[in-house]
Amino acid sequence: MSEPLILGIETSCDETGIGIVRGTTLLADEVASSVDEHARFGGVVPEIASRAHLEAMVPTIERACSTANIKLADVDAIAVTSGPGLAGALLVGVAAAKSLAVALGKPIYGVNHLAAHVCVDQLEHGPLDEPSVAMLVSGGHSSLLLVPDITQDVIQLGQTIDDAAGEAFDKIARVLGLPFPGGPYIDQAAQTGNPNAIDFPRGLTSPKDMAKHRFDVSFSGLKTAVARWIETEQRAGNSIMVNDVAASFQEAIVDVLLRKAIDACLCNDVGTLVIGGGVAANSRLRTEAAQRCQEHNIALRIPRPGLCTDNGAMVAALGAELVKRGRDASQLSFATDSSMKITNVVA
Amino acid sequence: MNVLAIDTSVGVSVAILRSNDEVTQSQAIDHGMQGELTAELISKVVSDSGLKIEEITDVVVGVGPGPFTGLRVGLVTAAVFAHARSIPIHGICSLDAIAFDYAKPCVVVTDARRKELYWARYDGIRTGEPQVSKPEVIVAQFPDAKFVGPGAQLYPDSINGNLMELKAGSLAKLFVSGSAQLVSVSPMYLRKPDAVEPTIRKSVL
Ligand SMILES: [Zn+2]
Repeated sequence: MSEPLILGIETSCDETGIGIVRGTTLLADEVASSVDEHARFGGVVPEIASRAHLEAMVPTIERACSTANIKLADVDAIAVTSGPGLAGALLVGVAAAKSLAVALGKPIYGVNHLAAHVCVDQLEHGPLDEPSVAMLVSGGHSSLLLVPDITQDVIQLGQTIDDAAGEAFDKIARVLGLPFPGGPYIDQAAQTGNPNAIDFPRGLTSPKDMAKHRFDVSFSGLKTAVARWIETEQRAGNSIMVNDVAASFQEAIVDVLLRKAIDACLCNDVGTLVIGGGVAANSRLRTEAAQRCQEHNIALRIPRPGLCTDNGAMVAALGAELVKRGRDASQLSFATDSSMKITNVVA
Repeated sequence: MNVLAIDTSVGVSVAILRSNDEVTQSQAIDHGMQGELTAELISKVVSDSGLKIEEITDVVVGVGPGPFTGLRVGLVTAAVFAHARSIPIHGICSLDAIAFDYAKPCVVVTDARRKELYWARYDGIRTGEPQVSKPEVIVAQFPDAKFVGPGAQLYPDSINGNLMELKAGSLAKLFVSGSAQLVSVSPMYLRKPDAVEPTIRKSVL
C-alpha cells in the first residue's frame, strides 16, 4: 500500500490549522490565526477563538486541499486534536473532523495535541528514533516526555508545576511593555541584550528540589524575581534596560529547560532529544540546545519554527503514523478532553 | 431532493427528508452532548433512511439562536458536510421550525440561560429578527400571545405556553415547502462574547 494520505485538523487554541500529509511527506500546512483579535485582551479569549475557528474552517480546508493538490475524497483518514486545549475551541475542530469522516466515509483519529507536537518532526527529519526524549514548551504546557512509541506509549517524566514556559514569556513581556504574544518580542529584544547582565533564579535546580522534582520545571519564581528586579530599579530611579532584562530572563528559562532535558536523556540513556511547541521557535533555545546536545553526544531534532507552533500538519503527521502502524481509529462518538493526558495518544 | 437537516441550538436534532416526503429523524435532548452525538446521529439517520451519502442533495442548518458552544457544532458540521459533498447549504433560523410545526400565530421561545429566553414572533412568517430577553419583558410586550417551544414552561410565573420540541425534520420540511425565510449560514449569537476577563494564553505550543 502506498503511504496514507491524511488530513489533520487543529483548533486547540487560537490557530485554525489544516494540514495534509502523505506518510511523512508534508503536502499542505494552512493556518488561520485569530491572534490579532486577542492581542488587546493580553491573552486568548476562548469565545473569540471558537467563533474564529468556525468562520475559518471551510476556507482553510479548501486552501489546504488546493495547496496539496488533492481532492477531499482522496484522503484515507481524518485526524483531529481532541485535547488538551480550550474546550470550546477543540469542539469546533472535532465536529468538523467528524463531519468530514461521515461525509467521506473515512476513519477518524482523535489525537493528543502533545504527541502531535512530537510527531511533526517526522515531516522534517524522517522517522523518530525510539525511544526519544521529547521536550514540549508552549504557552499551555512545559513537559518532558519519554517516547518509546509515539503511537501508543508516551511516558511523562516531568512538567511545569506552575506556569508554562510560554506563559512566563507572555507575562514578562507585559511587565516590559512588549506586545502579546510575548515570545517573539522577548526573543527579538534579547538579541541586543546581555544574557549575563542579571542573574535570575533557576527554579527547581537545587539539590533539595531535584530530589522531588528532577524533571519538573517552575517559572513563577522567575517571573516574580524579574518583576521585583524591575520594581527595585524603578524605585531607585534607574531606567530599565529592556534588552538586558529580556536576554537575562530568556537565558534563565533556556538554561533550566535544557538542563532538565539533557539530564532526562542521560538518565534514561536516550540518544535523541526532540523539542517542540511554540517556545521551540525561540532562537536562543535552538542555539543553546544544539551546543549542549553536541557536548553530550545527543542527537537534537527541532522542526523549523513554522512547524513548532500549532498547526494541522502535526496532527496529520501523527494520524499518518497511526494508520501506518495499524492502530485502531476513534469511535465517532468520542468526546473532546480539554485536559487530555499524554498517556492517551488516541481518543 | 434529499435533504439533510441539522440543528444543535437546543440539544441535537438531525433528519433526512427524502424526495418521497419520508422523514427519518433522530434527536437527543441532552444539552452539551452536541460534540459527541451530532456526527453519529447523522450517520444513523442516513443509514436508517436507506439513502447513500452521495444521494443527499442539500444541507439545511438551524443557525440559532442558541447557546454558543453547542450551536457552533451544528454550523460547522453542516458547513463541512456540504463542502465535502459539494452540495448547497441553506441556513434557517432555528425558531422557524417550531413556528412551522405550530402553524398559527405565536411567539416561539427557547432557553437562553441567564434567566433569559431567545424568542421571535410569527404571524404566518417571522415578523422580525430573533431576540434575547427576560421572560417578563417578552410577556409584557405580547400579553395575549400564544407561547410555544422548548422554553415555553421554563418561567411559568410569566410564560406558560405549549412545550414543543425543535425538530430538524421540520426545518427540512419548511425548506422544501419553499416558504422558508433563508438566512446567511452563520450563527445567530445575539450576545457578544464575554471578553472582559483575559484568560492566560493556554495554547500550545
Ligand atoms: Zn501546541
